[in-house]
Amino acid sequence: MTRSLAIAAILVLTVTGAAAQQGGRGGRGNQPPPATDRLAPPKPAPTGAWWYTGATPQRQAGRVDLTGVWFGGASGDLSRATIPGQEMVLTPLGRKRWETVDHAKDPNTQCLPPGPARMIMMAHPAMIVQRPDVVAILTESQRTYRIIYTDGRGHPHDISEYPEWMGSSIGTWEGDTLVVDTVGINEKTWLDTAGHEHGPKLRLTERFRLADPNTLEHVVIYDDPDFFVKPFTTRRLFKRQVGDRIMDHSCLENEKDLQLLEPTIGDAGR
Amino acid sequence: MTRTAIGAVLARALACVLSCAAVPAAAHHSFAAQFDSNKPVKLTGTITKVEFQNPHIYFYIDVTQADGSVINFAVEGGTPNQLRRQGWGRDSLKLGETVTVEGFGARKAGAHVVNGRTVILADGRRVFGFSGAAEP
Repeated sequence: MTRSLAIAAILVLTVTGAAAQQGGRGGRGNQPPPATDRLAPPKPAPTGAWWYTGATPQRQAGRVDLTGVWFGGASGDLSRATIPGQEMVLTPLGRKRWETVDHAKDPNTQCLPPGPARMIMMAHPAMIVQRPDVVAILTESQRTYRIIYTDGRGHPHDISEYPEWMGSSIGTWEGDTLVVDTVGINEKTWLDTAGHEHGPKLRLTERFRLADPNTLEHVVIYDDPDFFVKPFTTRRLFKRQVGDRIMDHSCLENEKDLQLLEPTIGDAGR
Repeated sequence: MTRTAIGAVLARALACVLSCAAVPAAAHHSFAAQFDSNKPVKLTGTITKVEFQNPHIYFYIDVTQADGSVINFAVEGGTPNQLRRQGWGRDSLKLGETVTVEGFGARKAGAHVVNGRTVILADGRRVFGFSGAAEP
């Protein structure tokens, strides 16, 4: 009898628990959690929350944490962001492509992915999520993402035969600087909105570090012997954004521009 | 939305009204491939439709011509996400409202499409602080 009662009690508890779970947030009759506006962080911030609350960000387990939402404004022309002594010098092929590029064919206009570096040069903020084994960059721009593996792996052996819109990225930490090596970048991507293109040999070496707790420095070495006489280096800064919100963005949602574009060659489109 | 959040949005909107006129919105297309900086236009008309959508907002105005006919112009503005962060929304423009738009005409012959730079309501208030795709 005692055993039967115990079994009955377990059954009641189990069924009640299951019903409560089903009721959950989506269930009828239960009140959903109150609206949480993601324009600003919740106050008080939950312990361990990574988004910027206005307080000084904490170091995570001995390593700087790049996690957060960042925005550096839109950047049109990479050649204007180079550092002294590391300017962009075009090869004859690079010069010819620069002078004959048709701005009506910008892959961004066609709602194609922006490429690994250009994805954080658009008019949209990006969220960085840092883990010990991977750093993900999630940009609002077309809701695209980029994965940087930091677990010691190499690039896929077939990446040059099967290039990707964001390329293949592996990262290592040099002190508080994340150094990222990227190859296998689909040559359909443009490097910037001004229309700098590249070939299959493009290799990016990026260095991400916090210039101060709320400023992310992004230094990039672009190496493509087919398009550039020597590697050139750019430097851009991103400001930490308050809140954790990156918004919806589907480029094709209401795209009306493509049918209105006229062929626009070289400097005429800049 | 909490009172604090509303305040933050309003403060951002005010800051934008004061400063955003100098900030070009980056386009998802080359300005020069679609619009002609040698075709400045100024149109006054009534709003017939508002599309607060990506990749650019669009709204439409009926503009009465000298001969009495009416042409419906499409006006392209900035990105909805940028405008939303500055406190503007799909209800910032009302159907039937009269607005004056200054901007640039399309390169494509016969296209009644304008890149809007300023949007001014009948009472003189400016909507969106700025409106545009990229610098010409």
